[in-house]
Amino acid sequence: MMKNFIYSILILGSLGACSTQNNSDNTFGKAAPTTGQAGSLARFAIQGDNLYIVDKTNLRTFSLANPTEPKQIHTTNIGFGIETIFPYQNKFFIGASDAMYIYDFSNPENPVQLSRYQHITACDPVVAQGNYAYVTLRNSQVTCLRSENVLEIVDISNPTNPQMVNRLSMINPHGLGVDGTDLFVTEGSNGLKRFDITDPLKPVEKEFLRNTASFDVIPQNKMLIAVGSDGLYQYDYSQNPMQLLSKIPVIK
Amino acid sequence: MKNNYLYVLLLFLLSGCFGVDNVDEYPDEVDGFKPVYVSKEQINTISTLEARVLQKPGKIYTYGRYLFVGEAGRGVHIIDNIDPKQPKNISFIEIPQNNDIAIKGNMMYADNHGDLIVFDISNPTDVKLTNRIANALPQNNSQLPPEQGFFECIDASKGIVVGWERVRIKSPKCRY
Repeated sequence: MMKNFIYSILILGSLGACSTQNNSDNTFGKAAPTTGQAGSLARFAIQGDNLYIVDKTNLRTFSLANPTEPKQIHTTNIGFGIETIFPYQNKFFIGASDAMYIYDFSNPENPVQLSRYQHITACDPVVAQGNYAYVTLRNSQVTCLRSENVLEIVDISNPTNPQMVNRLSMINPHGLGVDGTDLFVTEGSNGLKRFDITDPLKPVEKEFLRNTASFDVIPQNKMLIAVGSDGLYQYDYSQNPMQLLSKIPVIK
Repeated sequence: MKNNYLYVLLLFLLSGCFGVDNVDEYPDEVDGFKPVYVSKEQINTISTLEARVLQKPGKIYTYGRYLFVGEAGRGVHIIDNIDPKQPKNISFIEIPQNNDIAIKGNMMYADNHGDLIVFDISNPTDVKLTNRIANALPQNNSQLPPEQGFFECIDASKGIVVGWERVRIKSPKCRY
């Protein structure tokens, strides 16, 4: 009898554990709608009930109040050569070929430009964390004419007046990602860099994986997803050095 | 007298030059570009297909346990990433001319050559197209070849130009 009771508890307990497990894993369930996470090269961003899309010149707002019927509710002209949109807190950091724009979307239906941080003409995704934005500028003869290859760190504590505070030379930087004290910068066919940003102003290069060709990343919960011309890589960066978990190869 | 001959010779040389130039402008045959056409019907053909290998990966997006990898201009791979050590490629959504996606609450929004399309991805191996907002976005038409030079003129009746192919062209009529 006692034995049966113990078995029952064990079985019930393990069932409970299973269902908990399932709930936490099953993001396709019926819980509150969640939003995904994009890499730094995205032109689409969902915030709240709106989908924001940047084309080459405009920021468009689509209401998702009815999720199956997106409805364009606002369009604002930004400038030219717009490439990327990165939402952070209630702001958008928008990468363009000659500037980074900061928009406030506290009023979600009507994003307002706070500033335009001008830089050399280059391809330039941007990410932000805390008081700093990280911008990569890449020289490309084809899409972004003759410039430099650098990582710029911009103080955004006053978003109406962003100030460059540091500048690091890079090889051929593309997309980037930031999470806590880790900053990842893709260097195209040259590899993938990991910086320690314990001091956010002074990134210290910690790892340079020369064999991981990459052009964009998503760092999330100590798991890094990196995509490049040879495949899709996943790393565990709770460790030093970070550990390769898997690679889905490109097969041409 | 001798000078006159020289002038004549000079004129001849110059006209020769012009002649060559003219031929150069629109030669009989030259290396150039030819438009790659796709019909509007083809562009709007959306389907969930079997998983396929990554060939030219593009942008990345995560949603819960799933990972979405763009296949430049062709569609999106869906990868079940519940175990990042063993990600499983589970399906491919064919979306011609697609570059970006975003997802909220099982609805996926994607661009499809100027249209904004909406999918229900509750079942990622059987994704359903639920809506199409035509002309919601600017189209990425490739009206000019990637390099300056001669090209086969665009014939709009053949469809939408989605790219350019490097070819040998006979009697080209267009250049830039």
